[in-house]
Amino acid sequence: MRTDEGRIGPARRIALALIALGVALGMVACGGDSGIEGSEAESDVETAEAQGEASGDLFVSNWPFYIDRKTVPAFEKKTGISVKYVEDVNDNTAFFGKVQPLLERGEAGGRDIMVVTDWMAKKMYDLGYLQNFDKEAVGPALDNLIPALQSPSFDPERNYSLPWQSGMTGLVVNTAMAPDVTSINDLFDPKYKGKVEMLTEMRDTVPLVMKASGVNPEDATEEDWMAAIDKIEQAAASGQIRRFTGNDYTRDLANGDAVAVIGWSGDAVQLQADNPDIEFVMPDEGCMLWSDNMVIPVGAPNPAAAYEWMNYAYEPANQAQITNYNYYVSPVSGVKEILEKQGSDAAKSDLVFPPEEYTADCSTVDTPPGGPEAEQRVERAFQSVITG
Amino acid sequence: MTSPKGRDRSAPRGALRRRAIPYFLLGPGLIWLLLFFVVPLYFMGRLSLESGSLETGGFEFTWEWSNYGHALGDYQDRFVRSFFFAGSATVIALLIAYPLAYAIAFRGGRWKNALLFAVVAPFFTTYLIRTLAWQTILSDDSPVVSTMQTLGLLGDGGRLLATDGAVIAGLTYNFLPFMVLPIYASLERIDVRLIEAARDLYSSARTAFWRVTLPLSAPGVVAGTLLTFIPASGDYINAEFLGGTNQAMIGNVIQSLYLNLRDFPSAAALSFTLMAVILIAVFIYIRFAGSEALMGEEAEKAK
Amino acid sequence: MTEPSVRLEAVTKAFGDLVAVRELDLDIPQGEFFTLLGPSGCGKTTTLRLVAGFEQPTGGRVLIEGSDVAGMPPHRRPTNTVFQSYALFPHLNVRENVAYGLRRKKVGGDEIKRRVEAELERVGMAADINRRPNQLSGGMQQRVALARALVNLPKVLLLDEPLGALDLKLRKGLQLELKRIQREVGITFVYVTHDQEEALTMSDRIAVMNQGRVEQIDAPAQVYERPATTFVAGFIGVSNLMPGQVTRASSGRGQVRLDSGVEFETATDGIGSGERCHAVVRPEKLEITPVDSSQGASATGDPSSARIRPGPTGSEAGRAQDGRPTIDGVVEASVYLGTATQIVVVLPGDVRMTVLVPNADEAERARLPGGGAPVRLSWAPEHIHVVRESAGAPAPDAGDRAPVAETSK
Repeated sequence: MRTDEGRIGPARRIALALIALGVALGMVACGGDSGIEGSEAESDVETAEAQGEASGDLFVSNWPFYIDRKTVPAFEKKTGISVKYVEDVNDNTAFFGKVQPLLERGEAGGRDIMVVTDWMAKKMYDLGYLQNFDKEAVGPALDNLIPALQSPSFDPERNYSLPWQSGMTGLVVNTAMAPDVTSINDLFDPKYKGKVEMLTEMRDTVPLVMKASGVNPEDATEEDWMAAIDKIEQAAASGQIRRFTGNDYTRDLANGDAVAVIGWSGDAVQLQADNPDIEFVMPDEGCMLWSDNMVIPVGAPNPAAAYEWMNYAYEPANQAQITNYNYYVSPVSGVKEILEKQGSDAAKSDLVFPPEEYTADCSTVDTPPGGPEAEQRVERAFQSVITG
Repeated sequence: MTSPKGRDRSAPRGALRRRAIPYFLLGPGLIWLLLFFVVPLYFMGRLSLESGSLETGGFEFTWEWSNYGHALGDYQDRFVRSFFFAGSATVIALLIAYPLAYAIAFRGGRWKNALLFAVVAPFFTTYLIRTLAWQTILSDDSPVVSTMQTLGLLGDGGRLLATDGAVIAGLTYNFLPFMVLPIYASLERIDVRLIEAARDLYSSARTAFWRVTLPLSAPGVVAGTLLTFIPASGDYINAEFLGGTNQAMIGNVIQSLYLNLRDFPSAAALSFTLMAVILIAVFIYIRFAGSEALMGEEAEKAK
Repeated sequence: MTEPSVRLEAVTKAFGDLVAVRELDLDIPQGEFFTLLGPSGCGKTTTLRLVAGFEQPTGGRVLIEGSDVAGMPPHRRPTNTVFQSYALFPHLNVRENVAYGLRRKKVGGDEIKRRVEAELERVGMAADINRRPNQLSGGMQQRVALARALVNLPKVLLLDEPLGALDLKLRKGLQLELKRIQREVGITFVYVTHDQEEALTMSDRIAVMNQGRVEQIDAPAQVYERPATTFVAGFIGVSNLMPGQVTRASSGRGQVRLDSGVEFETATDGIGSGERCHAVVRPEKLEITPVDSSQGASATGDPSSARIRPGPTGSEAGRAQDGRPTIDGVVEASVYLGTATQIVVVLPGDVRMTVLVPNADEAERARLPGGGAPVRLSWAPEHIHVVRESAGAPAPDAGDRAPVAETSK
């Protein structure tokens, strides 16, 4: 969930600092012989069996401001399951840093469900930190999943991930100050020198720049990634790009420090409420599509309750309740009709229910090719640019 | 054994016990240091010599000295920038803090405590919130910027935020109390009769300050500069929020290595390098400042 | 040298409502060892600071060698100060402390070296030239402080209770040494102390101060023998004061009648007929004799019933056969002091007199009257002296006068 995070930016930074400490202590804890060991995974991924009737306790880790107030009590009332709903995911990498030492030991700190973005779900899965779904148990939910999200490249069969909400990464523009920004390439226009910002999320920023250069991220080679990173680096060094941000680009747009940025669709809705000039602009080249997915970690104590939760959230009526709160793209079929019936503005928004032609040029693949080592090289190059 | 010898031996045993008391008293502190400083330091040191990655089977201890080579080679410019920012902030903080501490100590009167409170008051707000406030203050459309542009202090397209100046200003502001308090403490301790004695011995107010007040407050200045420079060197918050694309400090790099790249060995090596450089710098500084501050007159005599 | 070294003309210094020094007039000739003596808060240190330039007077003029120093900061005045707390610069060694003033005056390096070493030689600190103040004892620090001031050859040296923080034995030694040095260098010393003995030992003249005013300026012997006021009499030595009245006065001499009834003739020093006064006799000038218990009412030991009895010749009350005035009382306490025995005698009207009997002869000391014994005090007529009542509160009694450090404000 990305809307509203400008406000919780500081909390996120504190979290980062604490996590750094946690990581350090974690390393001490498992210091012994060789520090941290990753796992060669995939071979022996377990399936989280839904045993018996769903009951007991459920522990969900999700992003802040991603759920309305009524859904959890209604679920508890209906199922008799007691829910511990914690908003402790502020950032994929930071959350990973926090739970990785636990997952490495086959625990999840009691978590039954975690919500992470596509690439992070894949990374965790590859490291053996996640369990496969019990397809039978999660069947009702899968039946309601919209076709567009049924087979993403990272998990074509939805074996271990189920979207909570989806969204688009594109341009967020102050149209009064920068009326002619319609392409990612316009961000490199000297006219806007020092007023342009890009995301520190590599998998959002770099593929968009590649698309602007005519490279399809789905076919991109490591060289294409590196070329895009070089292009960004030059713009950063020359001062064309003011800075790289997380959600705090919303502040810079609101303050007038930035006029055009790479940003997230949900944030635009939020910003528009205060300044009608700020809009989400679908880049000429298309956007990046992503989902934040529910996953079941290794050591999850109550998978049966987890499936109950997924099925509940995927009932269109329940989902409408959530979507009407957070204005993100809903992964569930039939929600638009319910919202239309309710007369909600969300039903009319292209950002909540993007028509097919609206997202025609958008890409979903967002990880560099060539395996972990290549990915690490690209990541390193990108991190070096944003900490220039 | 009831021989007189038995008694003889009891005496040294008592003395031994007495001699052991200081070590018992030191015990808890030493254990604390061992647990929370030496042990983590050891593991950090070990980690900095490991190789591998999380995705390819984890890290292995291989005496990977090249981590240090990379740390110094790849990030040298950010080291230099960090020390430049931290050094500038320290100097500016000193120039602001000394007169402030002086005024509070010698002219504060009954307002002393209120003024000291005012110096510390910003600490009641979180570090992050304070820094974010500066983001707003220095923002392109802020009154500060437009005023400076009107006065011609800043070019028309000029900005304050996302510049070296903004980061240095943020560091200066955030660490100012750490400079003020030790200087105040050392000034407050100075016997005013020493200053009177200097005045009596043909020193103008200015000379008395340079010859007596300043040297006597040197310990506070040294403490204040260290308390400012050391944390400022490793800071990443100010660069993150007030800097732009060319203001990242070494702290930002370490953060990125730890959390984004999860390259723990490189991050550890960089942390160690930072620590070593700071230690060496501080050591040289104390040697230099210590002798300079305390030997002012001798130095003069040598001229 | 006709010009006084230091002259104060009607100098007043007020701190807000508090007047520390009132209308003070002083003339201190060149080369004099002049002492300002008084209890805490009497204004003596403030007076010194007015001369040094640390304070500016709120009224009157301060002149040094004939020129008005109004508004002149301390570093431009030809004075140097030795502080009670020594105020040596802790960051400098002995040599640099002493050289400090000369360096500020841009004296040449060779001359500084020569003068600093000579001065340290004079105060006996030549061996410690490279040590730091915190490595020195209090007495050594004070010697360095003295050298640091004297090396500049000031016109006037101001000393603010310089020996106050030292122990008695060290103080005695340094008193003599200070006096020697003063004679040697011939510089005017203005010395502030609350210690009357110190003042009497060292000074050429003493100004006794009380509540911002000078009560008396005189040579030590005069101050002691012929105090001008009850305050001076009380502050210097032990206050043996007997209240009375001048009954007749003409051309400096007059008849005094004490409240106890004793009458005598003495110099009245301008006290008019009918004015109240006190008669002073120093303890060592009193003679004490036991009174035979069969001889009268005083034998009961009740001081209130003691009265003047006719002497053996019988004609005149309170006059002994040899013409010495006498007065009867009862011993309250007897204290052995080593060189002397101090006997406190209570007279009628609850007046307490202290008598000091030298311990010259062990047998004689054994015969001294003990507590409760009726006694008769007598004195030579020339040893009694009448003083005016002081304007302010009377001086505290000797016993209460602890040597407390004085603060100027």
